[in-house]
Amino acid sequence: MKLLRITCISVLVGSFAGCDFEISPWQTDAHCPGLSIEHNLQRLKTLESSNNNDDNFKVAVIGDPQQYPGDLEIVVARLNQRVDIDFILLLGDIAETGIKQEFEWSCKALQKSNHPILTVIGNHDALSFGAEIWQQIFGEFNYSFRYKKTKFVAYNDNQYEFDNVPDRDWLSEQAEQTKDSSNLIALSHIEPWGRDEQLSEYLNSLGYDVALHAHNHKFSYYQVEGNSLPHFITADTQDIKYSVMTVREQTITFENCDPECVPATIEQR
Amino acid sequence: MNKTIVAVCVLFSSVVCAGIDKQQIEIQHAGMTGTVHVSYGIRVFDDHVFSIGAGMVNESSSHDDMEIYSLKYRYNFETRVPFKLFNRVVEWQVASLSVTGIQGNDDNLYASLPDKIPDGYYLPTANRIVFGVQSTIHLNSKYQVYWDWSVLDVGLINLVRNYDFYRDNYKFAGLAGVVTYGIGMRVEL
Repeated sequence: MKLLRITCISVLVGSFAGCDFEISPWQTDAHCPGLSIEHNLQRLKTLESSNNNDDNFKVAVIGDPQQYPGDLEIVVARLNQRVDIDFILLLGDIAETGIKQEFEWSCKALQKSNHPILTVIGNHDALSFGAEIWQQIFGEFNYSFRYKKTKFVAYNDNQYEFDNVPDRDWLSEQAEQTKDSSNLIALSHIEPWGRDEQLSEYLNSLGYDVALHAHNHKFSYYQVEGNSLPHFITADTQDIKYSVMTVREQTITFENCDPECVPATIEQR
Repeated sequence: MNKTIVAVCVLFSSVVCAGIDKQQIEIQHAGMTGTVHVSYGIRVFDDHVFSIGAGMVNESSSHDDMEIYSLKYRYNFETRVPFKLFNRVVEWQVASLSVTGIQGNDDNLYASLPDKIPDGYYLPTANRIVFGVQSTIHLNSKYQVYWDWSVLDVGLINLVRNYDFYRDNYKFAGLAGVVTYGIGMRVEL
């Protein structure tokens, strides 16, 4: 009888110790400290000021880590070992069904990064109440920042989940404010949609040098015929995949890492 | 197809009705089914309980009051251990297993895809499956209180796919990363 009481008490104490009474799957109070865009831009500024001599830099580009936080954790650990990487661009789909728990699992892996992480919202992130959760964790859907002589413009183009995206006027404004920048890079989760074919030409006409995306889960790097804007798509992080972008004053090159890195070659479509 | 479904339902209902031996009302807090969730259940062939319920989630920053509807099947393991609690003999029913289909009712959720999204592009976001384990104290023949451990569909899938990640990052062999709790009371009618 004494043993039974001890068992009962142990079960109850053990349960209460990590007490997490989830009212519904659709709660929005995700716990993801340290991942806000504002916080990471601050980290980037500190990094830039401590490393001002060289305008060339490398960035890791990752996407679609949903459902595999274990592989995301390994990718983050691998990138932590690379001192040549300045920061990470995460191009969306942190969650699969937009629920709080999924965001928290990915956050657990991302929080282990030594590098600043800048994120773009993906279509799956915006499901259920995911758009609210995303804003709460990361901040604005559309934002821009400058690192060394390169300007990055992150925009929301998830057309099933949001109306009137992407915001072309905003993209144009961001392109106009690039006087001191030698490179202008667009970031979004999805490559220009089939029904929005002119977007690639529009970005090209605004002076964007390259557009980075995820969503397709496979590496690809292409230019559409008659349009000089290259689109680079990174693979998902399942089985340890990521990309590395090297930015120099006049050239931007990519490597596909699966997990060993090889140069990406551009194809014409 | 429809005739087959109707026939199966009729057959199932007859079997269930023939075996009904108890009806129950259950009130639960949390465990993914709402701030308060009330369900009506029937126990058939001793160990099987089928219930239907409705719950309420308080207003939050992103949604108004929201309802959650449920259909639940629970299997009771009959092992009961009597012990004394505050000078009364009560019984501890160590475990029962359940699977619950829930549907959330809110404008941000959909049970079938909106027109602008192609068929099959996503699964409906309003429907989820919750797997549960309950441990119950039978206070007497009429009243029971229970503790509920619940895992959402995606939690179970992720735990299996990424076991090392959960084991290394969360307590109790990774279960603390996916399990949430609920408490409840059951009244035999």
